[in-house]
Amino acid sequence: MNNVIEENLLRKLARTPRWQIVYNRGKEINLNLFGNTSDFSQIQIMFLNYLEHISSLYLDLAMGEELLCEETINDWIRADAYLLYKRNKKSEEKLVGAGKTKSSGDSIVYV
Amino acid sequence: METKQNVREEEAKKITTALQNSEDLAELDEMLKNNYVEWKEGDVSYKVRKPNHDERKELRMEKIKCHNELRTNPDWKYEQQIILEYANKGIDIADMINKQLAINVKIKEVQSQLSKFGAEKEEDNKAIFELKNKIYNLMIERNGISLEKSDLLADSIEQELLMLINTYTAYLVLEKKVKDKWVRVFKSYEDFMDSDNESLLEKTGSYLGMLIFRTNLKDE
Repeated sequence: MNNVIEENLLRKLARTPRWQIVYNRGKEINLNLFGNTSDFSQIQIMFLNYLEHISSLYLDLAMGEELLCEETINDWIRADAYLLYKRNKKSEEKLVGAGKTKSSGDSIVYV
Repeated sequence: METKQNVREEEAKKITTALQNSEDLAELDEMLKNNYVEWKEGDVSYKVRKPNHDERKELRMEKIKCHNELRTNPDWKYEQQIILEYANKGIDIADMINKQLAINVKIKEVQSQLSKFGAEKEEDNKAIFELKNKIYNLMIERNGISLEKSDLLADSIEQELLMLINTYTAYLVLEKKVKDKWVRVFKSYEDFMDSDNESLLEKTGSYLGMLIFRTNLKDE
């Protein structure tokens, strides 16, 4: 059994400044990231997801999100934890907006 | 039973493990360029691509044929039947699945604690280290259970069908360049299965895994 869990290479690649610049500029000027423009392979889809997640982390950092720092972005375990926190926060905000509230833990209580 | 999401996560894990074995980032960068992978072995250029509509149709027919053979053969059993048989022998696979789900919940709890630490302060280092370690160990425990469960269910109809789908797809989409034209490497699926070119088959399987991941038999 492989007892070593490491950040996968795809994510490492998505974190490189080159790919982050290409991705963010690409969104602005409609640049194609790959040779194909449709029928993406699974690895391309996974890569696009990583690019988006990492780009959103840098955006949050630039916006002064207090629970985020450069070290977190460069540490996949901490980055995942932050992304989970962000996702939960978004769901809570949606529920509050819809007139519902959240109890402690993960269970949702409708009021 | 496992949810579709769990199956997807497991497949994603398999792909990421394959990726960790890739030589370096440059090779990976190259693989991302297109929705096919080309490589050379000696003087021969090979290519693996996604199956087209006709090939997917052929694959589906093969899967149905194989499924019919397996389900009428008393030697083959579905995962659910194997789970029941193991339960009678005191091996609880359902419990393994529940343990995995419980670990997922635990990981989320620890992640939630970890996310509360912002910019690194000297005094937080120990707590951050301990929480990261906890997550890491839980992931290892989850992977261990996953492997154990996969071993126990390896001879099920579902796994055999997945094997057929993977190998048949590889046979359909593995091509070599002959006089500037891409042609199928093997004349038949039997030739593909009989091939002793381990290196070629290994690369084909690995690259194919990056182009397509199998989610669930029901999705086929």
